[in-house]
Amino acid sequence: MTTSVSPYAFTAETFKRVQPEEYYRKILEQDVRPDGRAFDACRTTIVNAGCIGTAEGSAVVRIGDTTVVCGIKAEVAEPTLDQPQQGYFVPNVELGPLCSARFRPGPPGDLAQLVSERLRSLLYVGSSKVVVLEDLCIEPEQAVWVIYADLTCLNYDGNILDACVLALSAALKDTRIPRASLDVDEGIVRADEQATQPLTLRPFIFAATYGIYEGRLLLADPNASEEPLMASQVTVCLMEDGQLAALWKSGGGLCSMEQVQQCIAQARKRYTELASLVSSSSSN
Amino acid sequence: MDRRRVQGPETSVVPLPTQEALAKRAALPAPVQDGKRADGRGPEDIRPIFLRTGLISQASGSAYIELGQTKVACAVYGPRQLKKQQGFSEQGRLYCEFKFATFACKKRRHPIRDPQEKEFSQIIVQALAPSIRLDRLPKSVIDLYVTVIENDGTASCLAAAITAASVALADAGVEMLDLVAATSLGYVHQQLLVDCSAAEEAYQQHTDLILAYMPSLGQVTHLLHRGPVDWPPMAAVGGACCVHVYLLLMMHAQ
Amino acid sequence: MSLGLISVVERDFVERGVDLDLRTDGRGRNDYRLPRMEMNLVAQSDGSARCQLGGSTDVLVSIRCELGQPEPTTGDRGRLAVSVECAPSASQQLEGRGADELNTELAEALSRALTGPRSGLNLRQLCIVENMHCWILNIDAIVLDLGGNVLDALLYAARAALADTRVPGTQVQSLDEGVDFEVDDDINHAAWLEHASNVPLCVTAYKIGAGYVLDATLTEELCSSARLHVSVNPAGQVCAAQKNGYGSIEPSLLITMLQAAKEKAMYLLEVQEEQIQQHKRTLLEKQTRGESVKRPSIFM
Repeated sequence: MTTSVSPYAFTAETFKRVQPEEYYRKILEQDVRPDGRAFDACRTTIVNAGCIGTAEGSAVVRIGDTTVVCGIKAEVAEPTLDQPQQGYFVPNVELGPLCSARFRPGPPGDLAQLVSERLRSLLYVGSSKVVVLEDLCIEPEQAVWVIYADLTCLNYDGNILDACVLALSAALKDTRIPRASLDVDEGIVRADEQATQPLTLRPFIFAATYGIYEGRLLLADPNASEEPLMASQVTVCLMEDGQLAALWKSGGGLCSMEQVQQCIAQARKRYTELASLVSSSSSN
Repeated sequence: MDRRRVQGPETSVVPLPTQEALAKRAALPAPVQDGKRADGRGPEDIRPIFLRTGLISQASGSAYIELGQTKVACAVYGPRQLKKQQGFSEQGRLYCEFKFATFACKKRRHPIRDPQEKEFSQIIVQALAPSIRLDRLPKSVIDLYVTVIENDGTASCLAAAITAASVALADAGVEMLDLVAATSLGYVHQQLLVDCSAAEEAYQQHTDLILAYMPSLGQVTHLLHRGPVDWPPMAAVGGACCVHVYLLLMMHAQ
Repeated sequence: MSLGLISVVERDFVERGVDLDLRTDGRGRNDYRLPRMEMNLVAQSDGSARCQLGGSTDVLVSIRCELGQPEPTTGDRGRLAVSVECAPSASQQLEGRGADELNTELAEALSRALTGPRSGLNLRQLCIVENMHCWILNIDAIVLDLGGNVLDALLYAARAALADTRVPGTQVQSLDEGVDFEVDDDINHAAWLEHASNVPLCVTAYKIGAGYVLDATLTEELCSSARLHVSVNPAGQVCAAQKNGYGSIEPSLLITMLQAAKEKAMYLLEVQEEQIQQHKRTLLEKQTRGESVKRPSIFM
C-alpha cells in the first residue's frame, strides 16, 4: 500500500460491495478465486449421517458454509389406483428465511421449487431412480409406505443443488423403516419398531455444478457471492458407471460443447470423492 | 392444494405399533429410580448444553444449541427498516418465526406453521423483548428465525430456543440489557424433573413450566405453566436452573 | 395484543393512580367488575354462555357436539377443539387479517386451560366406540366487544357453557361387519358433561408501573407492560399460568400477583357456581311446566 491513502480510495471490502464484478475479475486475473480456491477445486465437503433421532433417516451435509439437513419420515398411505404396488417418494426443499437474507418467510420460492422438482425428477422418474418404489409396498392396493424426504437449509452459501442431492443420498442410505404388515381384520397397518430394515436403493447419483465465467473460465462449486456473476451454470448428474443421469444448464450465457465435456470429466472425479464420503458417513 | 411443493398422497398416517410394543409401553417404569432418571441424571439436573455462535454465516448473528438430543438453530437478521405498510413505530420491533423442521418430532410436522408454532413465536418475542433496547431502534425491525432440528421434549425446545435466540441477538451486536436464560421443568408422578426429555413428557398427567429469567436484573421475562401443582417449590427450582444456564452462557462468552 | 394508542400524560395518570391504589373508575387494585352472565342463549348449540365485564367486554361461547374420530394415541377419549374469533365490531384494528394474531393467542390460551387432563373434564365420557368414533366438542368463542381483560371473560363464559352442555346419548350395536351406533334425539337422554365444575377460571393480573391491578380496563391494559394469566380450579390449584406482553416482572411482584389472582379466582368460582345453579333451577322449572326444551344440535 502507498503511504498516503487518498480519501477517495476504497478498502477491498468496499470495492467488493460497490463493484463486485470488477473486484472478482481483478482477483481471477491472478489465477485464484477470492476464497483462495483453484478454479477446479470444490469447497471442503462434510457428510454426517444418522444425527437426528426422530427421523427414520437423516444426514447433515456441509459444502463450505452451505449447510443442509435432510430428514426422512416414513408414513403409510393408500397407493394410487394406477400404481397399486408402488409407494410414494416425496422430496421437498425448504429454503427458509433462516438460512439467508435473500429468502422471505412464506411458501417456497422459485429456487426451492426448482431444487425440489429436480430432486424429484432425478431420484424418482425414469430409469435413473434411486428409490425402488415397488419395495415400499406393504399390501398391494391397500397400503404402501410414503417416504417424506424434507431438506432444510440452515446456511445458504451457494450450490444448494449439489448439497441437497448429497444430503438426500446420505439420508436415504441411513434410513431404516420398520417392518410393517396389514392387519386385515382391523384394516390398520401395524409396524414393529424393533425390527427395522434399510431401503432398497439403486446406486447413487451425485451432482456437480460448475459456473461458466464470461464464457471462458470453468469454476467448480460456485459459492453464494460467485453465483450471481456466472453467466451460466452447468450441473452434471452422474451415475455409478459414469453415465449421465441428468445435465442441466441454466443462465442465459453460452457454453461450448468442449466446456460441457470438461464439466463431465471433472464431475467423474467428484463422483468418486462424494461416493466415498457417503459410504463412510453412516453410523451403522 | 399447494402447487409449490412436491405432493404426496392426500392423507398418510403413522402406522400403529404392534400389540406387544403397546403392552410394553403401558408398563412404563417409574420416571425416577434410586434417585436417577432413565438417562442417569438426577431429578434437578439439566442435560449437557452445547452452544455455538456464528455458524450461520449469512446471518447478522446466529446460535446453535444442543440440549441432550434437542437441537435448535437461531438466526438474527437486521435491524432493518420497517416496511411502509407495517406502519410507524417509535420503538423497534422484534419479529420471530419459530418452526419445527418437518422431521423434528415423532410425528411428521406440516411444512406450514401450525397454531402451536405461531404461539411459540409470540412467546419468544415476549420473552426477549424486555432484554433488548428497542427504544434505541425506532422505525426498525429485528428478524429472528428459529428452526428446531430435533425435538427431545417440546418444553425443552422452547426453553432452548429462548436461550439460543438471546445469544444470537448478542452475537448480532444488538444492544441488550442482559442475556435471557430459559429453562423447562416438569412434574411427572408428583416428582419434579428439570429439563424433561420426550420420553419423560410422554407420561400422562404431565405438568410443565417454562421460565425465562434475566439473572443480573432479577427480572422474569416469561413464564408459561400448565397442570395443577403447588407453585413455590417449582418456581424456586426454575429460578435456580435459569441462573445455572446463565452462568454457562457467561462461561461460554469468555 | 395492545390495540390503540395512549398519551404519555394519560399513562402517567393511570400509573400514579395504581401507586395510590385508586383506579380511574374508583376501584382498588384487587377489585373485580362483577361478571354478568347469561346461559343457554344459542338455540343451535348444545351449550352456550355469554359473559360481560363492566358493560364493555362482551364474549359469547358456544359448544357443539360433533361426531368424529379420536386421536390414534388416545382412542378411548373424545376431543375438544377450541377457536376464538374477535369480531371486527370490537375494534377497528381487527378488520380483515388484523385479528389473526390475537385470535391465535386467545385460542391457545383458552385451549391450554381447557384441554388435556388438566381441565378436569372426563374426556372418556365423549368416547362412543373405542378407536373408531367419539364426540368432538367444538368450543367456539366470539369476542363481541373489547373492554379489557378478555381472556378472563372468555374462560368465565367457556366454563359456564361447559356446565350448560349436554352430550347426546348413543346406543351401540354390534353387527356382523363391526359396530354401529345410533344417536338418541331425546334431550332427556343426553348427559351433562361430567366434572364440568372442575374446570378452572382465569384471573389476569396486569403490571402497571411498579404495581399491579386485577381485571384491567382497556385504558389500563394499554398502560400495562406485562400481564400474568392465572388459571385456578375449585380445588385451589394453579392449573396454568402464563406471562404475556413485552415487559418483565420481578420475582417478588410475580408471586404477589399470582397470590392475588388466585384468591380472586376462588371468589369468582363461588360467584359463578351460584349463577350456574340458578340457571339450572330455571331450566328445571321450565321442564316441569312442559315448556319445549331444545334438541341436541346434531339433529338441527
